[in-house]
Amino acid sequence: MSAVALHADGVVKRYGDAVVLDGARIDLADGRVDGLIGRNGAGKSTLVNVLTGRVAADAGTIAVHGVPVTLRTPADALAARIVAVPQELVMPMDMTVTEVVTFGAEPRRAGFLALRRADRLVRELLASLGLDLDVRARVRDLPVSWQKIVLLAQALHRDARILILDEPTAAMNAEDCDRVLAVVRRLRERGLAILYISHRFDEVEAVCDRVTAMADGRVIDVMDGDEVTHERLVSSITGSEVAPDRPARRVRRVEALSAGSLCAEGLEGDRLDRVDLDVGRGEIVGVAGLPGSGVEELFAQLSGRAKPSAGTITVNGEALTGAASAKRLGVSFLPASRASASLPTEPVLENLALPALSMMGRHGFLTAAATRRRAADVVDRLSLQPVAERRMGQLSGGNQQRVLVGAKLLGSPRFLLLEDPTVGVDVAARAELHALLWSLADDGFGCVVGSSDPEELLELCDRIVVFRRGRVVERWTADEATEHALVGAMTGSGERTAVQ
Amino acid sequence: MSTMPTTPVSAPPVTSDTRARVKRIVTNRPAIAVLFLLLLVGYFSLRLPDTYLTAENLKSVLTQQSTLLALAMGVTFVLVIGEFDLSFASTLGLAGACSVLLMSSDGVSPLVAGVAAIAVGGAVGVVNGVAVAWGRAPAFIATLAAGSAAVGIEQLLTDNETIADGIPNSYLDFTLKEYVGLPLSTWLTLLIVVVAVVVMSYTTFGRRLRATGLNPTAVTLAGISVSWVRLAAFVALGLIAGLAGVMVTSQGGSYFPNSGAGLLLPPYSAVFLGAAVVGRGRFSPGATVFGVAFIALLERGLTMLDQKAAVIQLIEGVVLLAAVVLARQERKQ
Repeated sequence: MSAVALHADGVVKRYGDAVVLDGARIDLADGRVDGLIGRNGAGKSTLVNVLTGRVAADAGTIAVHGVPVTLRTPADALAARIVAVPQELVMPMDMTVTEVVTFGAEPRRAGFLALRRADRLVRELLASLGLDLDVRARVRDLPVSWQKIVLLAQALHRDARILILDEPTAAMNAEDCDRVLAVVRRLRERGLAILYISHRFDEVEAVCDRVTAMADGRVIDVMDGDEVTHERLVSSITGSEVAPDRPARRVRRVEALSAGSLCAEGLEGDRLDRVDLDVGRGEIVGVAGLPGSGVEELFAQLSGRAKPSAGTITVNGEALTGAASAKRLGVSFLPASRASASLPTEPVLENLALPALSMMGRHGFLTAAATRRRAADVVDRLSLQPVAERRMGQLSGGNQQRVLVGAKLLGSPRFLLLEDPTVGVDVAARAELHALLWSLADDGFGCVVGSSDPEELLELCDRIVVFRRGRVVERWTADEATEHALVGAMTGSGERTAVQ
Repeated sequence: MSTMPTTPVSAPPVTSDTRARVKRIVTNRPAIAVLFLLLLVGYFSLRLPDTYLTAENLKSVLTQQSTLLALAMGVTFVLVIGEFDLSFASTLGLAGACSVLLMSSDGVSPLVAGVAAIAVGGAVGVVNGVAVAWGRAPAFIATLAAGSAAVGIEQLLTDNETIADGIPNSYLDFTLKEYVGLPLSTWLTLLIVVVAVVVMSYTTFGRRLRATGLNPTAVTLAGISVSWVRLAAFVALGLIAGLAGVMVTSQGGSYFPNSGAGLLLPPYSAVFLGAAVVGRGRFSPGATVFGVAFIALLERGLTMLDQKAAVIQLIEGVVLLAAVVLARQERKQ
């Protein structure tokens, strides 16, 4: 058995009353890839932040190669030879490959940079990973998988013994994934201890020797060697959940799919591959997919903010060609980040009026009275009276989301596109929002809900389509779908062979 | 696809061969910069055949624009880290006042007075740097405030009056007396240019400055304190502003109120023009040298053609605006 590289035990981190890490434990060994899985909010990121010195733990012990260490700053972690490669491509994009790889530990001669030696060093380092890359190229000009590989090389140059990879293949297509995974395997051969965090179970199965599953800040399962199967991975993160209290399903109206539907045919784009989708009025369609699966781009195209490179989008037979025609055809989009869609320091009424300003004013002038009159219906409908005079930023996440839905309603849309509508919203508010969407659907609105949360989709939607790597891989009605199947389809654990 | 390639995997070429060749010509910025300068000098040489392209004239451009060159170098450092400094012209005034006052009231030697002035400039830089790096104040407003405070101190010290008495001749020699063809102040400025180029391209510190401007998070992840890098850039500009205060008072042979007022914008013009033409929008000491040279030579030519100051200002503004917009368009592609 290989030597224990890192041992962390009883790690606790609290933010106020919220316990984010509750006695988490993790073991890494030289020459082994350890997977770390769990839902959003399970505490994976916080654990990584603790191990890399970006967040100080409230309790717990960490030992590197048997020696206890205190990690208070990123420099502490680097000194312990723990290097993390974050999910985002955090690097100075305008710099060259050599500059990025050697950054912070540049080869020097007599106090000055040894530029040629650095180039040679980086070339050799890349060659040892089986890669040939123009080291003078600017990283900005490289494909995304190579940018990630540059960061892996940077970690090696920083003399990493323990490497933490956070979602290294997020937003990559299959070919790019393979390239990154090949490098990860080479790093394992070199004897590095690797912590591999991913939502994609096909990769976890393909590359990890051992997997730790987390939920609610605790380790709930550790799978070793042969135990790492997609069945076990899926059940380890779904099994921990209590079965949600599902309200009685709303009665589907028979005429729902009849006329005026939103139709997408053969959509293609950077991350979309011949996607078909249609949404009838009165219907709630869930689009399931992990970040980077293409759901974001689908929403951008459906809302007219991005042009498909092929394919068509029509509403009731009329072509949707851009943001202006989306508005005319009544397709309204609510982005995942509420902050980007609202004015937090302004009253709720102002926020309601914002997207529909052109309909609010009278000859270009706005008066508070006219705004209130115009918004009255929506305020009633969404029961916003109690909060109507408060500032947007003072509202809870759930109420903010309702205000934003209300603002869209003022523009009299026919279709609502919602991206992760209940992110950061508590359970009660989430139920309220779902009830609101059901009643809107009953009134003939068509809704498209993008999410990576299986529970939410199963509860809310009439139909679910599942995206993986830019393709629709499953289409289910609400009754056909199960949480287990949904997680399996999103994470691709059904296609184990694809990356092996 | 095999996961264990026996031959090295190569990154796909970014552009095709012919396109790459065209791109290389367009992106050979030093060559383009030299071409621009040649065209400019060529034009004025034709219009002013006997007077423009003479050693005497070029030397006079260099010595007179030393202050601009030095300040532009300092500004480059602050812009490289992605910040802004609106205080250095006021710092310059305060430093000049301190230097002259020390000599005329306290009888301090010119050398000590000059060093003190530079230290005063550095101190303002420290204030700016601490406010921005640790205080997390927006640089724009923090440096505006620090500059205002500097003007206040300057006026308290000098009662807003011109001081011409008690300045030793050796102080004036700093910008007057020539050693090997150029005054000491100009040699010092050229030294600053060389140091700036070397620091930015050949030292780890220069690379930290650039990375801080490009992606501060990446710097933090490398275990380096971004705050100290930021402080260093502001202090560098402060020290240079202090030196410029000495140069301005030495050149004028006296202290007069509000001496830095006209010196805030020209360095920015030069740095942005250089970045637009040479650096494709990126700031660097080399690009700044071009910007200063272009503006200085243009200004001298227009002056010698008896253009009104207003016309010169108009032409400079148009040139800068065009350069910045073009550079922006180019980067978008």
